[in-house]
Amino acid sequence: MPSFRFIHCADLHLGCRFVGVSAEDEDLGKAMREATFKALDLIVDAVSEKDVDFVVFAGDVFDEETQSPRVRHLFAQALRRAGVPCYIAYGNHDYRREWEDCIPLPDNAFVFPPEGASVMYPDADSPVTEITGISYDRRNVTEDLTQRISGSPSLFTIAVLHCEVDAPEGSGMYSPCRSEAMTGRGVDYWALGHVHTRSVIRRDPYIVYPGNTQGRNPRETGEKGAYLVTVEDGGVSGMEFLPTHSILWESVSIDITGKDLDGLVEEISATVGVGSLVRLTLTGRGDLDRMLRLNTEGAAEAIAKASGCRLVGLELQTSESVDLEARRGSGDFVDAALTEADRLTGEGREAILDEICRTKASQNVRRVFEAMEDGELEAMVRDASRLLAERLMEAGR
Amino acid sequence: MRIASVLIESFGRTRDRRLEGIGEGVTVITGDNEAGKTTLMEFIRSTLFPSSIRNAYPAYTGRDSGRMRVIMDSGESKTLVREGRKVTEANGTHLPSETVKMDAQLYRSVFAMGLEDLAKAEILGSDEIKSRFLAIPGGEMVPSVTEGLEKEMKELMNPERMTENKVIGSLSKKMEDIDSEIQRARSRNQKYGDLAMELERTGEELEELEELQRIAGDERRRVGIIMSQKANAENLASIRRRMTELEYSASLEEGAESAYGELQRRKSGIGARITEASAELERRLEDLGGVDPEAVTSQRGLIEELWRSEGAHDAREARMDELASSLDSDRGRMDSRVAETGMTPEQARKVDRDEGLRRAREVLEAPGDPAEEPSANRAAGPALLAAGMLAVAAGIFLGDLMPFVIAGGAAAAAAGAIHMVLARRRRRETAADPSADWGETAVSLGYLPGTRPEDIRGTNRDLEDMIDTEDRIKRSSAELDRLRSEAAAETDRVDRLLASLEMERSSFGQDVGRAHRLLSLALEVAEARGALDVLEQEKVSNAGSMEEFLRGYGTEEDFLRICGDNRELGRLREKEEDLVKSMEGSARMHLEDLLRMIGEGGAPLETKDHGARINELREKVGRMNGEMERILGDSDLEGLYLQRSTAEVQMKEACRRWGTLSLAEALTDRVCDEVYDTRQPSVVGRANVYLGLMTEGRYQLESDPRVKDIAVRDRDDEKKTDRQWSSGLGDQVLLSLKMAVAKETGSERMPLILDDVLVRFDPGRRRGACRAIHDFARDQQVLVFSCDPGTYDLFASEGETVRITL
Repeated sequence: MPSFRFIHCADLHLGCRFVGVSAEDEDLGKAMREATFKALDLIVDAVSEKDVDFVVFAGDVFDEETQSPRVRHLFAQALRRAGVPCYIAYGNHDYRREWEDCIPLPDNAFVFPPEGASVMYPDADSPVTEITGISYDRRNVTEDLTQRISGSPSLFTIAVLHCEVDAPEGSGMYSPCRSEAMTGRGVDYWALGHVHTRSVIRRDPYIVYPGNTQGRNPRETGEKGAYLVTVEDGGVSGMEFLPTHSILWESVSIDITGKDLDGLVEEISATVGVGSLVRLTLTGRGDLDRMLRLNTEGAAEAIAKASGCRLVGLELQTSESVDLEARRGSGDFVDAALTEADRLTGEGREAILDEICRTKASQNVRRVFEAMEDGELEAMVRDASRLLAERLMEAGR
Repeated sequence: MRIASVLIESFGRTRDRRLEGIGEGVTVITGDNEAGKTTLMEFIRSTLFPSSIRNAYPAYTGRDSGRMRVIMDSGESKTLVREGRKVTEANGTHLPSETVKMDAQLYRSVFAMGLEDLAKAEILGSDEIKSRFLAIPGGEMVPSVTEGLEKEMKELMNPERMTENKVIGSLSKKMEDIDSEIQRARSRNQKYGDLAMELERTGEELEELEELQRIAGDERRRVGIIMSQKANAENLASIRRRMTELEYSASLEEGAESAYGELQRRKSGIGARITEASAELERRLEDLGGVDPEAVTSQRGLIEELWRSEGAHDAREARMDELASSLDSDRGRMDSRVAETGMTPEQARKVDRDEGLRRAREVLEAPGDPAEEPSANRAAGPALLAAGMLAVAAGIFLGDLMPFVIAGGAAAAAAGAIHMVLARRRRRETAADPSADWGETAVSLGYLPGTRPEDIRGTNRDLEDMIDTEDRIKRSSAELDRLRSEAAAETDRVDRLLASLEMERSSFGQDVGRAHRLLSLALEVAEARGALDVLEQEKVSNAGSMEEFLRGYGTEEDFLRICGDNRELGRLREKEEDLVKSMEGSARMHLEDLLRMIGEGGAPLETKDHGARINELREKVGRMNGEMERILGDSDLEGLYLQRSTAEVQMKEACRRWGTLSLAEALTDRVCDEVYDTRQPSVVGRANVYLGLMTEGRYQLESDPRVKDIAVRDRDDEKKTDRQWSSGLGDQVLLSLKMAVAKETGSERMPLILDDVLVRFDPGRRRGACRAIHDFARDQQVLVFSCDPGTYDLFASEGETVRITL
């Protein structure tokens, strides 16, 4: 059986904005605007560089928010440049297929319809592989689309889908499916999209998420890209990860205990990559805590400058040399404040939100707090108790 | 702590006032106005808590002095010594103020107050008082901390409404603006679809109209072509017909016309040259003046001979003239000599002159008659000498010939000199006497008789001259004869020539010159005739060539006609080519198609001009394409989303900060509430007890220690803020609060000093106040100053009361 190579990519979210990072820096802003397109360009470059036979896009090529004529036009241009067959299954973010009529994709592009379709590569007369797939036609697809897929036993079959494999029961709004149910369907390689974290769930058959091609928020850390899959003798003989990110997100936690600012910067520099977008969490106890809290912005700037990274978040889980916890049971106001903070945290999310948004004007920004996760709100309560304690102690000095 | 005794040595106008027997509970100190109650109270409190902030009364004099003994809660007795402003403890222990760490103003407001001090509610909002209210360590910092939190929060967001001059409000507005921009960008993008649809519709209409326009255009073009090219087509046909007629001339060989031209040019050239040569001949003949050139040229030898001999002729004539003159001269000379000598020339020739001379010399050289040397010899020497010297002199003047002339002259001079010397010697040697025979000798020698020796030399000379003259005459005559003979022969020849040329004789020179000129002319005539002959031959030859050339074309006229037709054919071909090009170019089609179309002809179709609409649609399409291109290149939306993300991050950070501050404030409130709820009996609860006693249970305090406002609620749960209180109620509320604070404040139970604070209480509430004060005084000293004597009774009616009258 002839061998062939294909690129499996997903979740390009072309033009989609970055979140959780300020783009006040002009260079960073430009890099972020271009990052998703650059990832696509790298995939197209790899087509010729790696002698790729075809490319599969497993959903969310576009983002409903930023799908514009320009974005679709750029995608069409990229496919044209790729020159090889490109098989596309749309996902929950690009099911609308905007601009399809007025900006058609080139002839080498094949979009799977919502009812599903199978195509033979290179053609039906002398097929080498079968590519089958289904596109979304609505945002939420609760049906397990994998059960509609049935591959040809005689051919190496690739199924292109946007779905959630092994999602918790009842949580799946995006074609929830079970990996064990994906076996025995005549599919040799499940080319999946939706989950932004790269993973190979199974190898028989292959159930693969390549992850997204560019991390766009602080949680999407690490290298992002696509898989170059080589098929020989009817089986996958190699999977090479092709990094396509131009901006790397990192999440780093550093303990300040026993460190001065130079020591802290030195450890951060050794940990993060130059140019990376870093979400830094500082823990531990020490004199640095006071300095960091008094001038958090300045400290963040100094750390970023010295380490060469871009600090997109600095979370201080540090404490002064004096242990606030030791104030518990002292009967003073700090003790009472810590107790109340615990109590408020225990009362839950809504109680915290109510306490935050007590004023009339604050109701206008309640949505900002409502968008925060429980952990963030709880961290705010901790920060508030710490702030209060610090202010009380400072006033008492 | 309680005050045991007071001694004022000097304080204001008070001197030596002693106050003793002060009770541990309530002590009412009464006195009339101006009795010194207030002065005493001021002394007590300013001694207990000295302060630089001094009340106006009494005026500071610098002589303040006194003592006061206090018993601390611990039982320790302290004596406070006042000297001027300075207060010390007699035993050097800490002053009460240092022990309780209480601010003097606080003390004045809470523990030692007059009616004015009572009204000062601000002190209840002070950190210290609040701390007392809350009765929790660190609580005193809450107001300032809360104030700081609020201040920071207000910088982020106006608590009442969203305003753009605050960080969060500004960000909120910014996000709204970005959202609007995003909406606009999306609308622009949305327009792409509309444009695409419109473009498709417009494109279809345009395509249809363009097709109609093309058809109409084609038809108009066809008709236009027919109209415009019809004349051309006819012209072309005419040209082609004529070309057919002229086609025969195409057989004209290449170069034939030029060859003909060459022959013609040559013919013309020859003709011209003949004409010229003939004219030249005529001119030459005219120059000859009717003389037959052949006759002249036939005498060419004679003429040329005569022409050459002209010089000789002249020389001869001159010679003949010279000879004739010489002859005349010599003949005259001869006649003279004959006459002189008496001898003929023949006789003369017979005289032996040399012998005669020698004899004569001998005769003459004989004595007395020196022989004379012939005169020639005798003169030769001096002549040579003179000539030589002259030559030398001439040579000196003559430059270049100088050496030769000088040399010649010198030689001649030398020869002359030598000759003179030798002649003199010879004359000496020959000296003899010959005179005896002289006569005979002379005759024998041929001299005429009588000839004297001394004449011999002269005679000889004459004879010799005669002989010479005769010789010359003979020679000249002979030569003259010869010359005359030559001249005669020459004259004959000239005469013959002139006769042959029929010319009148003139002089030799003129005749020969004229003949010679005629000869030249005749020769030129001959030459011109020769040239003319050559030209005539060329003419004949050229005529032969022309005849040969024209042989294939018939006559020359035929040839010229063929040539003309051929040239016309060439011109027509060019014209045809140009016309075809022009027609094909104009019609943009092949000639055959064009001619066919013109041949088919036909009426034009009815067509409508859609040009304006097409232009309009094209412009529209251009505009739409431009707009779509702009949309395709528009990255505004992505940029706006990025701005939105940035604003969201900033908003989240600001909100997070605000939330943290808000939560800190909330925690403060919660702690306060908790503390207030759980610890209220000790502060506010006590104040409520006092207020209840004073107001007979009509009011309850609602005092929030986190704020400055103090409110009460009546039995109907109606809230009254301080602005709604009567002056009496205000005094009661504040006294209740201050007593409660005084009760709860500090580690030391400080004495409470009240200076007529009950004056605005109605009697019922005054009694209630007395009860409250007694309640307070159960474990804490109270000094009540009053000018009202009934005050003691009132207090006494409510409990154990000490009375001190000033």
